[in-house]
Amino acid sequence: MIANFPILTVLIFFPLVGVLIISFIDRKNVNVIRWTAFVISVIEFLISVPLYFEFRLGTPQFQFVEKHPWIKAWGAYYYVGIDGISLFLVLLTTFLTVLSILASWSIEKRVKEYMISFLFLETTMVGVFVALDILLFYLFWELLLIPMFLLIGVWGGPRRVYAAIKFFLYTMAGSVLMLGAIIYLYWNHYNVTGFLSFDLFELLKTPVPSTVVPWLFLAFAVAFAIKVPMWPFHTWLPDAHVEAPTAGSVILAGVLLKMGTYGFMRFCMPFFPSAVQKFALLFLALSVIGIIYGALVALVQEDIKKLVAYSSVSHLGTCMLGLFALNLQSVSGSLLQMINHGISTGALFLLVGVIYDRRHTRLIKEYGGIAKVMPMYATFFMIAMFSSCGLPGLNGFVGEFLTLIGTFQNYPIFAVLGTTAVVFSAAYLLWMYKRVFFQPLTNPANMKLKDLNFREFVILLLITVPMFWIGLYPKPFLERMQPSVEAFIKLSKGEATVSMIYKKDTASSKVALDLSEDTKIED
Amino acid sequence: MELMVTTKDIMLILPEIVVFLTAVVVLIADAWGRSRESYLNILSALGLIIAAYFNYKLFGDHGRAFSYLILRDKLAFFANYLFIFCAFVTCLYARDYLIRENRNYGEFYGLVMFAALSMMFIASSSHLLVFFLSLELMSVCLYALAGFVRDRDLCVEAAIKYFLIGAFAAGFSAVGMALIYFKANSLDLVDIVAVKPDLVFVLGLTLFVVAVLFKLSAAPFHVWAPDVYQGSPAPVTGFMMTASKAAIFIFVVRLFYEAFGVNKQLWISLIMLASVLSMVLGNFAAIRQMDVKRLLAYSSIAHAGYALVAVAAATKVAAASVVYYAVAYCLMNLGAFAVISAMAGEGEEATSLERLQGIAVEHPALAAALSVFLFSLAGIPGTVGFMGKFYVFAAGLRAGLYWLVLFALINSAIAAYYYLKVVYYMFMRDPVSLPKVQVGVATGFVVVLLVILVIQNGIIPGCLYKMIYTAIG
Repeated sequence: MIANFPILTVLIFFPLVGVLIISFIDRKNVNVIRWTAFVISVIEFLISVPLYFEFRLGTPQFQFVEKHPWIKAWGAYYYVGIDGISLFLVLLTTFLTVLSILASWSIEKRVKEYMISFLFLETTMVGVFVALDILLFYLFWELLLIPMFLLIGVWGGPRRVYAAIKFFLYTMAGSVLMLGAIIYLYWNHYNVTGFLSFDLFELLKTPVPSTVVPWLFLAFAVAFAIKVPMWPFHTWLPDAHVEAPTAGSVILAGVLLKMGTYGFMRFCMPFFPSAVQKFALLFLALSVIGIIYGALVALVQEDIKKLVAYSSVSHLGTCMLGLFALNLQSVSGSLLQMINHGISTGALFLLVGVIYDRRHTRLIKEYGGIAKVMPMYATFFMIAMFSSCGLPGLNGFVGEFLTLIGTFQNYPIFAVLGTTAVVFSAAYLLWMYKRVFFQPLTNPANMKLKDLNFREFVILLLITVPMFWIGLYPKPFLERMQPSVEAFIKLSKGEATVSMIYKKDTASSKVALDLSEDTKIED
Repeated sequence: MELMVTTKDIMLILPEIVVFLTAVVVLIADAWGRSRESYLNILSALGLIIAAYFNYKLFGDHGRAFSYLILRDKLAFFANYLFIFCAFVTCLYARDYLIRENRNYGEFYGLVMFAALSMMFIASSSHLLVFFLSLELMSVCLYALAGFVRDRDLCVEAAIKYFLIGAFAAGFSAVGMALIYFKANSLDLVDIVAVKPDLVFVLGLTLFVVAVLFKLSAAPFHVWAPDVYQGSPAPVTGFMMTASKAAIFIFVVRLFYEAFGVNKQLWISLIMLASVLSMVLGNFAAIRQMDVKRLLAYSSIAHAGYALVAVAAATKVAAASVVYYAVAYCLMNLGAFAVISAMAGEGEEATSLERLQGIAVEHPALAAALSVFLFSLAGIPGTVGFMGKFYVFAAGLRAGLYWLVLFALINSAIAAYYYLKVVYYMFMRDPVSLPKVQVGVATGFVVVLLVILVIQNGIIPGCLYKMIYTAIG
């Protein structure tokens, strides 16, 4: 039954059903709206769970593929599918959305619009990770900006507008360059093969003139580097993170940043293997700068949320380091680190949100000794913190360790420099933890802080589970990733062509033949 | 050249005749008994639907009518649909506005339809003289419409400015045509193709192109546009900003792709220059605007720049993309102005962003609709604006205009800022002194229709694209 069930399509469009339902609920029934959104997101998550169990192991092929003509005359398809790379990102998206909606219970302002934006955001996020048609991908990629812009801009902190517009424009600026590159690839494919197509595999197959390769690579790379964000394109991130509402930050850190690294893995690097070689050192250097810079800046932050935001810059630097080191350990580690970062940083943002709801401040100096009044909170915070700084037994360790050990094989110096991240992250997190949770409880405002309520407890418990799971038993994750990671490495090194790796399914080539008449143009 | 009018010729312009008759009927009906609340908009809409029906019946290639003066090809009929649609939408929702302003006169509908009629002839003229006549007819109608609310100072100012600049541009095109005629001994587009260019011809062509750029409000001939578009009543601005520019763009496609296509190097640099200037001036000036109408006026200058990218490409794909862009542009701007005409409140006093701030609190549906149009103008995927832009840029790259397209891409990222600014004022600020807003049934219908069209064509653009591509064929 599952074989014919269009599970990815359902995943993309199910949140829109929620949007539709919520738009018919009276805005005064705040609780009904919240519960509807929550139920929708839970069902969405449950629909996504079979992806994990039904996923075939040991093959780099795309699975759950659906392909339908979309814009026949342009050769664009509604073409979706997942492999070991996108599988976990999709699961991460649906999982974090459930938690984010739960964490949004404290939102009182315009709840209806908030939940509509959030579910719409989920649609676009899933769309980005499953699209295999590059135009479809671009559609979701850009569409995503609107709900995120609204989430930051309407429900954010005091400087929300500045942050929202900065976020939007930064991403947009990168995206238009990518659009130019996409169009170039599209025409290039037409010139070579004689028919129009936005199909990822068709485009991957087509040789690109070597003189333009670096330019196209950079156009893609800038778009994705802004999203990651790599140093020096990171400046939108602290603003957006700090101003966004808690759930917005969770999604931003957990999912949106992964779109950048995902873009590198899916498009940028496999498309232009020769440019990857050429620019590898540059990107490795930028990653290392990002790691160290992010960590050092995090060290001096006075605002907990800002500290976590800068730690993202640092952690994503590790991911990029692993990607460009291009061997099995480093890339698997990097991919795992993406998931880990989504979970642990997401958890940290949730935790910051909990205390912000109570005290409406995030300044470290306002706190101190609150472990005495909020013991449960302090425990969860400690777990998330150790997960983030890579304590063995928790998820962060596995990802970081694999990444660094892989990088060391190819680029020992960068690996050594990258390892400082582990030290630094322990430093800024532990130091912050000490100042917030230990030391004498002096501030009278903190005396009566209430510990976690049931809802918050459930959220934090749920997000702690995968930390231990990945930390103690990462095998189910790694074995699902491995074939796709190997394929990615071969493609990005130029050691194999697309047709060697992805076997063409007969169904889609038949559709292509049928359409080839439509997809011709005359000049 | 002997002018013979046959019955066949008359039959071929039936849609135009129906529009003309509708306008006359509306004027007579209004003269019979003028009432403040009359439903002349329904009458006009019915007439336009009949015209569209005849257009549907005639759709196809019929060669040229009226002794080679008027082209009756698919593109002409396709363009007819567009102008009929624009007039239909404008007439339909303008009633709510006119009643509010106490000016629900038949002249308005009559003028809109006369203007639509002349646009239909502009798009199908195969002779420069027909083009010139239709252009002047259209302009006269638009001058009158621009000053329709006579007791509003801005309105009168807009009308006079528009008139003066229009006369100025007419002078350019008349002299240009004279010089072209001097060389080619004909103003028929087909004859002009065969001309071997020399200095006089090039001069004539340049003057003519300048006149066209004036009408397209492309920089550096754009200075009139912000004042005129800001001052005119909102439904009129919506109509003249969209339909009249679309008409000229379709003529430009004919002119440059068909007639001057062989002499590409003569005009391409001029068009590219105009394109670059329009994008830069339009976008950077729009950033600082605090009046939503003026902001959209500057944005329309920038949009002319984007469309000119494809004009400069001058291939068949590019021609189709110009037309597609024109349609997309019409849909989103008509929608934006329909919302603005409702939002601005009595006397159109609330067009500044400060007055509109926080309007989403009281009118979430209106604010959401305007946001859809603005996101479409900004070129966010999922809207027709993105597909239009995508297509234009694709055509530009196909023709090898790499730098121009890169420039346009960067500009469209910059442009996102000021569209977002409007969204920000509507959604993210708290209301201070909101205007009293009443949304009539017709306005509501038009806005919903346009939202659906903008999104539908943004997600499934194939249908419209195919229609245009075959029409260019």
